[in-house]
Amino acid sequence: MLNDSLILGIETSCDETAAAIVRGGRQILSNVINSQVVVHKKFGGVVPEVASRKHIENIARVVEHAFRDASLEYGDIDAVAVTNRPGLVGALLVGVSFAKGLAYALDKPLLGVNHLQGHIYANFLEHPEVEFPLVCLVVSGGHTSLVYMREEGSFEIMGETRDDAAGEAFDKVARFLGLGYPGGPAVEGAARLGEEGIYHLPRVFLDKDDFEFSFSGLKTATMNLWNKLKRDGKQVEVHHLAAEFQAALVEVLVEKTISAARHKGVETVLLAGGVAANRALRARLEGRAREEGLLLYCPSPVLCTDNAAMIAACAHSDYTRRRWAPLTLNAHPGLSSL
Amino acid sequence: MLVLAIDSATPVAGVALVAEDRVLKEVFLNHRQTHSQTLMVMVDEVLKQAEVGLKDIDGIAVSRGPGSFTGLRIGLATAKGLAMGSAKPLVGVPTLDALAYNMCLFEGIICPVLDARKQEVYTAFYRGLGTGVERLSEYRACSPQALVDEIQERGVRRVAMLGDGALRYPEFFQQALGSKLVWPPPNLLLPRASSLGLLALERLRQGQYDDVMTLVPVYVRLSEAENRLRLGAV
Ligand SMILES: [Zn+2]
Repeated sequence: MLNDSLILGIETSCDETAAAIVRGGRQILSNVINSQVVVHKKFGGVVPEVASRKHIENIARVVEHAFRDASLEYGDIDAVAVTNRPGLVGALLVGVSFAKGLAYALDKPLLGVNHLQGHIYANFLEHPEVEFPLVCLVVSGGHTSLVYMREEGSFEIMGETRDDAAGEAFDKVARFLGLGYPGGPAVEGAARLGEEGIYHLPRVFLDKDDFEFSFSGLKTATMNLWNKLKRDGKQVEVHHLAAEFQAALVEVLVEKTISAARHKGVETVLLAGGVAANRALRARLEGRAREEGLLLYCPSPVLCTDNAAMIAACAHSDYTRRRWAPLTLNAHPGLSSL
Repeated sequence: MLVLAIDSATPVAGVALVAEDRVLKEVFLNHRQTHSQTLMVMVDEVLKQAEVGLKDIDGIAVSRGPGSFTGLRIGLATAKGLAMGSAKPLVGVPTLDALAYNMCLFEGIICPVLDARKQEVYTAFYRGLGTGVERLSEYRACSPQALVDEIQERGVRRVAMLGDGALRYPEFFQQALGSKLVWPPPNLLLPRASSLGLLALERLRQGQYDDVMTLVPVYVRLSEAENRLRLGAV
């Protein structure tokens, strides 16, 4: 059945080995995530070769686990969907190669999925009522993008980051301030104990009329401020600095998202990606959306981080339209287009 | 018995279908390293042209390493997917064993040499047994010079070298080893999936195979980052 499809999703684009089975693009039957955060912690960031080694070690077990949790036999699924772009190419290749072998052996269609589109679809898993057209802010360690969706399966990138992704800025500042890894939760935790406005950092909006982001300036300003305070022999209140950094970053993300929604005249705004789990971002965006009369949806934290349920959900529309991938499907590291 | 063999450990990609007494079909590609795009197409071609379905085979063989890290994972991930989906046993065969097997009729020391980059090679020594090979040393990564030194120390009289690592430093090996060195013809110089399949078939006949869930490549080397961490920690 096309609309009641059972799709196995596989995700290995970064440091999570994940597999999930989703029915009809909306209902999660299983969602298994094997995180490597602990492994990469000792390196202070994701090491591509180490991530790839972990993926090949885990992939078969994670997929088997997804079938077991869903109480399904391998042959019960209708298609195999796999993230093939963007991401760490060596890591992607493990998932893509495994998916190809499995789909071929089961004689099921293969679907290649864009990781970013996957993040957006995490919303549809929990909010099937979401209506198009909409604007989605995708924020993670790898991306900061504003995406306009006119309808199912249609993606237009309105703006992206010109340098660091939001999550990357969190990681770099966390490392600089000695707050630990991963940076998002570390900065958020520190910021909760501090107060914004005690220090002053710039809100980098770039051109008011477009939807591009830039966070490397904010990162540098944070480091410069710290260095200056040290030089002047002043005590640096790390919590206040973390709070101000987070507030500056969040304000730019939120205001750009609101103006993108206004620009497109949509009534629905989505939040997606790993940084969408940040409570300061969610709270501020909720507040602004309410003021603007916009409907805001965001996935629960477990679906914000990389997972395969979102990949399976996203693949559903390609599956029903029979946009199946050939055996030559390759992995692509670059952002390129959606 | 029928074995489907898959190899993408080095710049060569190969797929073969072998039985005890014959090679039914073999594809060998030594042209550009786009294994992720070519490997499954080759699997499909081999099975279709031999009119064999995955359900008809008795096992899947894969080159386990050492070799190119990414190449090894493309091969193993593909093989794992195929094995899981078809419920067929999976056999990981060391890349150097399969390469040495090309020369199993050679009377002398067989020395497969793979390019390990960073001015090093992956290698081990073997003895030909006519219908197989016997490994005489551990798999290791070393400089071409260290390899030559060991050959001299062992008092080897005749050594056959093969593999992309040997082809990377041909003049060096020729000069260092002189008339001791034997070069196989080009059709035996690089990994053949048929060799891999025949070695795997032997293991399957003995009832041995690997666990699809836990099989990992033999890298021989740590990753750069792990190496740095280890050195820094000492
Ligand atoms: Zn992601």
